[in-house]
Amino acid sequence: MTMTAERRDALRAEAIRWHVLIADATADDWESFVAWLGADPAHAQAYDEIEAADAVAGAAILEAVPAAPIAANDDSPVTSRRWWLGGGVAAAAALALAIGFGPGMLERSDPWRVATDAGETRTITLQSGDRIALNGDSRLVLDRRNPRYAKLEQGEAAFTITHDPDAPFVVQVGAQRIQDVGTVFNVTRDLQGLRVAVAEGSVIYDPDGAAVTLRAGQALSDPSGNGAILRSAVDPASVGAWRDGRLSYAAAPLSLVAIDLARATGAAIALDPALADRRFTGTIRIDPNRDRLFADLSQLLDVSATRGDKGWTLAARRRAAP
Amino acid sequence: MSESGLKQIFLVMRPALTRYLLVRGLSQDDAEDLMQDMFIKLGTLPEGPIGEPRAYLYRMTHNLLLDRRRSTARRIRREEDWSSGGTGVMSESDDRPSAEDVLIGRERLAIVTAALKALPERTRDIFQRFRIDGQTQKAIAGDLGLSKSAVEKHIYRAYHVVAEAKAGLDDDDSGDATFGAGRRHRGMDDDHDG
Repeated sequence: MTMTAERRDALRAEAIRWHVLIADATADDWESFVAWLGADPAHAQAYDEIEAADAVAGAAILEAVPAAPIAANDDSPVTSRRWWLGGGVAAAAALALAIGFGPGMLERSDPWRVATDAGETRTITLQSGDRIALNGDSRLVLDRRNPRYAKLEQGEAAFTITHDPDAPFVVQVGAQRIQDVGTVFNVTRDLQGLRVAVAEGSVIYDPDGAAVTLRAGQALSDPSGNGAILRSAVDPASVGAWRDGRLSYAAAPLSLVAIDLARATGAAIALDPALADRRFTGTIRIDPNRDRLFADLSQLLDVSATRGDKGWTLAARRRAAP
Repeated sequence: MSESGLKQIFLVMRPALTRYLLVRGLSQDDAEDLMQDMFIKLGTLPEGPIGEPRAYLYRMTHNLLLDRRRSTARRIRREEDWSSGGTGVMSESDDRPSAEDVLIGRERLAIVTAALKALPERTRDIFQRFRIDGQTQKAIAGDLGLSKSAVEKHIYRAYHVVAEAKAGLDDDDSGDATFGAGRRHRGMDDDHDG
């Protein structure tokens, strides 16, 4: 006997209603669900159909949401650099990527996303005990079916990972992969490209290609995300220091400092392009009092910091005529 | 809620949880088997407070059922490969997809993705919040200033088009056993720092 289309649609609608309900159900809801399932074998069948749809829907909806172009990859000259960073502007200049999960996606992965607003941080503890701290204005995709995988779509995250030689933890960032070898490390993806710094243990950057090993106290940047890397040294104690409200730098360009500040404070920050390549060495403490923070920054970075309608503007100081 | 407390509640609820497995189509033997697995798993859970232990135990039963269905689907597929003259080199523990699986998987995903792309942006946004971000119907309604029933309508439309697209695929290939199951749970703890 075949079911009429109307009957099938009505059953499907009921099954979807239950599916939505049990995502956030009380024990009483569960009991009602069991009663509904038991009332007619067609109910259980309709629910099975929705559950099977749900399995494929996770990957499909991530692919169906349009991805913005990757601004980090454009080689625009310094003069065309944007002034405004953070706030809605950073979101508009989104680093969103089309999510391309690996093969066998359909039945073997179940992605979910964690996102933070600028100025907000969040810590995720995986069942394995591994911890991921997510900085502000960041997006991370995790996979319920594969606890040894994370994809940093945008922003910054610090990973504290227990090494398992049989199941290395892999962080996907754009087209690049980072594989842990037992580790505390920090990954950033923003307008300045991709950066990795290691506090403890070591990681392998691009394990299928260049396979660059980074040990504690080492860092690299990959400005265009294509494997053309620059290596540098880093103070291991400063790696992921944003988790404690500190930003530490050794000869970092102010363009990078401004992006970090926007992410950490949630304030939109406009940086005078003339300052973009000026270097800064030191530690900024993120004072929750914004006025005080920017007053301090003005001294520390030797810039003028003024608050406007959109946010804060950092510009070169006007010097008195000699 | 201590660990032993949760186990005690489990023992009281065991007949009700078994009933859930039976109405989902499991045999009595398989249901008992799964309950036994669950009892062992409860002993390995880290200590920690659990808000609604009865709902938690239903959710855990639901997730274990999904896991079981997925691995059964994989086993059936392997056995079919075997009987239809596969290479004969197979490992029971090998969960990696074959090249053919990958191709079929990508094609199927593309078809379902196209169906979702045809939906209004708002419907996709709401569906992503529900399915990927794990927001509840109530939270989405609050965020977007909609009624709960309006949110449900959007989610309904998304699942409906996915189910339709998938039904079309399954008609083409009735031998499919890989779309075993989906699940929604919060398998990870997640706390706000600020």
